[in-house]
Amino acid sequence: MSIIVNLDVMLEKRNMKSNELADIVGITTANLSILKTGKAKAIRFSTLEAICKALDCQPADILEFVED
Amino acid sequence: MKTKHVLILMKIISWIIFIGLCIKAGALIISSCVSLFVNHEAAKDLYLGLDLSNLYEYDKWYFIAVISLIISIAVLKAYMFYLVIKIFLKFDLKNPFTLNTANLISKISYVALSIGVIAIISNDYNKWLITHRVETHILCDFGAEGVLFMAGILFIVSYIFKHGVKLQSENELTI
Repeated sequence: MSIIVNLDVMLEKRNMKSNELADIVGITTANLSILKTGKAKAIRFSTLEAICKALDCQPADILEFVED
Repeated sequence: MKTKHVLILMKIISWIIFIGLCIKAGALIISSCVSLFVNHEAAKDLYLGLDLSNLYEYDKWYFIAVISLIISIAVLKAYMFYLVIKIFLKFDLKNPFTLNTANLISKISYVALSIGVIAIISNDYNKWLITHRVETHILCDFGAEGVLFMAGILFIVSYIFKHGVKLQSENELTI
């Protein structure tokens, strides 16, 4: 897929663990893992908003477009 | 809650029909084998008064052809209800759209189509026998139109189900 999810990078920058972020955002660690591994087909604006709020970043910091 | 009760009732009815059709198919196979290899008098009452003795006396091969068609319809009907039971065993109301269920519905539609085609052949063959003045004592209606209509509807339902599976998996992968 040409949309890359850089959640790992942002988590490392903020020194936060996956399960902490999952708790703050209110999603399961399994779903966060789906998002991190790029298996997700879509992301809700509400989830994106919660992630940006928790990591204090912009959507562009998490999502990146790379030509196939 | 109401749907759950209806499903349980349908499951029980399907089991009863399946057992009934298995008995019918088994009885037809055994009685036709008996009439062919042991005693041809058995052709007078093959199953619930099905009398093909005239046909047997006219020509044994015509008898074999007719009984083969009747047996294949009975066996396919039993197999169709076996597939219906399989759906009920794996059906989950919370997560109904599974690829397995969609494939089973599609399989049922193909089996129904086969039954319909065999029923049409049986009808025409029976009519042809009557024109040759052979009394077969079978009604010339195997319900081909109804089964073919059901096959068409089931094929559409299976297609919708497959689309539902795709939508459900997409929904599950939306975070």
